[in-house]
Amino acid sequence: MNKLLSKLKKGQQGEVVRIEGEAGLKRRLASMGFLTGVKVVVEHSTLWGDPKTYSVCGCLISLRASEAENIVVEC
Amino acid sequence: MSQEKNFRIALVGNPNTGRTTLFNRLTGSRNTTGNYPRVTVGVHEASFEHKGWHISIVDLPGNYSLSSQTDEELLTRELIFNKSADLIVDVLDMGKLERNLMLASEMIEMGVPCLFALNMKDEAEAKGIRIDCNTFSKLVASPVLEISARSGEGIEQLKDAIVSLAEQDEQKESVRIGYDDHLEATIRSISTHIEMLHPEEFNQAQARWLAIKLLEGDESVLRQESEHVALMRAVNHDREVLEKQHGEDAGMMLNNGRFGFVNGLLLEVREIDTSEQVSRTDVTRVLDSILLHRFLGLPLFLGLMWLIFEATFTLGIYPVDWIIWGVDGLTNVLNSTLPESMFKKLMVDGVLAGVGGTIVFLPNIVILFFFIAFLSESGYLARAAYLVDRMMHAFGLHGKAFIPMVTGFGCNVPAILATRTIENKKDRLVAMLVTPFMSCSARLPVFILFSGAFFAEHAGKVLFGMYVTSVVIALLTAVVLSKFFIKGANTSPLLMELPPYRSPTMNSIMVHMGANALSFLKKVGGIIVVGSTIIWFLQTFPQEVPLSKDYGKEIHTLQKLPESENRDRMITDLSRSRDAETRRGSYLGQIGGVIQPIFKPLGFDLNSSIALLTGFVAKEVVVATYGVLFAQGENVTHEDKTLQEAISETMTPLTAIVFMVFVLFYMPCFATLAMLYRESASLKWTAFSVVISMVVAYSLSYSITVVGGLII
Repeated sequence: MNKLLSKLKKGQQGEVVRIEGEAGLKRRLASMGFLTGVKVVVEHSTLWGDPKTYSVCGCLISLRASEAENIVVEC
Repeated sequence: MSQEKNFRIALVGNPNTGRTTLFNRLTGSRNTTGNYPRVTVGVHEASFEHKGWHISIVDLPGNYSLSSQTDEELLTRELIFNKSADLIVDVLDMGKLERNLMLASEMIEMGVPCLFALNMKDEAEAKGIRIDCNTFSKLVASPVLEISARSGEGIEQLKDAIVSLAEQDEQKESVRIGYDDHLEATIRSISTHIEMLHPEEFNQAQARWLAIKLLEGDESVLRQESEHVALMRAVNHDREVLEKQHGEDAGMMLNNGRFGFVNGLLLEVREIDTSEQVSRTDVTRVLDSILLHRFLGLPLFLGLMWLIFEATFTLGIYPVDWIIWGVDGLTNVLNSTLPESMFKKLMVDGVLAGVGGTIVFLPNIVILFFFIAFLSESGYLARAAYLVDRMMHAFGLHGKAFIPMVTGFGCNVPAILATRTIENKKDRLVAMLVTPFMSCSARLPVFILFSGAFFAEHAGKVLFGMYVTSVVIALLTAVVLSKFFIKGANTSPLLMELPPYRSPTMNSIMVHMGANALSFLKKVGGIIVVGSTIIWFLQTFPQEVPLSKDYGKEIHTLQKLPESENRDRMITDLSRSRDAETRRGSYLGQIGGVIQPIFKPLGFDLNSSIALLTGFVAKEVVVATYGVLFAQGENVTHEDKTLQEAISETMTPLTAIVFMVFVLFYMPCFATLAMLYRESASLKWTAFSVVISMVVAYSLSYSITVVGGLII
């Protein structure tokens, strides 16, 4: 099932299907390892549930919900 | 041509791959590294000798990609494209090859001579990662070496490889990253178009790379080629066709193509033995499960900040005392050795007083930067920004602005320096402009004096209130700035890497600290000397001030009387009165008189106006000035009075509050402005800081005067 990465809870994971949104952010996300087919795991959440950290390509990356909602994952 | 054999290499790589450590290892220099994205601010250069070659190295900033989104990316890209370096040494984290190779594939695409150094071999091996460097090297048609910049393993081999590439004339072959047929055909047609437009200028690989960048929608290349209308039209058309047919834009398709190349490569050369996985990542995981814990993370961070803050100012007391002692000593020496002259006065009362007043901040700066360096090196700093981002973001600030702002409670000068960790220029500017509103320790003496004088019972509460006000106003100002004055601020993403924890080396912490201390002394020092000379001049001239009575004669008469406590006190009072009158008659006092009407609505008298003027140099001077001015009162000081009592007779408690608020927000001190100018590199924004602080100080003070007047 396709979901937005921002909707995933801590401990859940998914595979990147596509990245939407503004071209600049898309490129930056891709350069940080958010690429089609890559597995993403939600690692930590803050008090407010935003931002969260994600592990992708062996790295821990922090994203705000407004950034994570551009990433569509299959889980 | 020189006899020497010269070779130029550039170090490129993702942030946190150990580029700077390698740079230091190769050249023996001591650059600041940091386990925090973008510690390499600017470009470092150094050189080393190996086997008769003089090899110069440029350490470029860390990049995740070569798109033109940041200055660092643009800089790196232009350097590679223009062949300013004979060889690109790409430093990769061997444990994170997927992502690191994405940048490498962009380099391969540019068709420049590369060498790939797989760094952090030891860490990767602990994770059970094995690389077949021979196959790797064949697949990318460039040398591939495993190294550990930390331990020094593989460094000699790396030097040998660099030299053997230097001795080779041209790279024989290059690899081409292949894309989906449709995309490939489009790239080919556009690159042919480019070759036609720029005959001789670009080689095939460069034309292909430009074509790819055009399809990606790269702003800088699009701008560069914008005059070629036909090309632009073709590019736009092709991009639309690609997107329509594949349901994905060309940029993503290119990324997917590169990722395919990377995955294919890794499949051939990498082996991961999961049974061998141990240690390091686990340490990071365990630490993060506590430090990034949903409920514990933030309190732990705030507690840590409090500790650092406490330590900075309690540990700082001793060296600050030594510096004061040293400056006093020097003052005494100059006083006794230099002949009585204007020059002596300028040196002692102007330059030395000003410089002395500023370098007392040095210990605090050094200690604070010790902690910041420690946090940065350990990898915690990025996490701190993550933890507070939500709160900060709501006020128009980036998470990374938190540490500089808290630092501002100590001293605004290092605080502005600490905003360097914010990569987006606009976000950084907002942080720099609100930092002076954080109540620094130099304002504390003023608050202590006034709250003690007027609200003895509730002094602590008043003091706390001032700090709360300072934070509230700083945050509100940030909201206003990011909404109305600095367009595009607060839009940069949080998107950042939280690197694995590493134990910081003492050496790099020392270097980090030393560099900051030195730059503080050098650059700010110059401006302080100029500024305090000006203030001294304004305070000292004109020399002949008409006095209300002949103090010299009266003192002289008193001195002839038999010695008694009363006589001594009268002499002291007289000479103090003389000082006060002289000060009022000076240019500074005259200016004070001119501006006093402006302060009148706030209820400030001439003394307060003069005190505020001198506070431009440094805010604690306000108290010192009061000390001089209040030596003499309209109601003669016939008995011993403390400064507190003297002040409390000339002001109402309401005016005292207004005065404190005004001191809190008005014009940043000289050193802060100097730092602000240096770091923003903009006279406009420095002036803006002065204006906005005056506006905030005045309007807030005036509101309190009016509202307070109604209530009381």
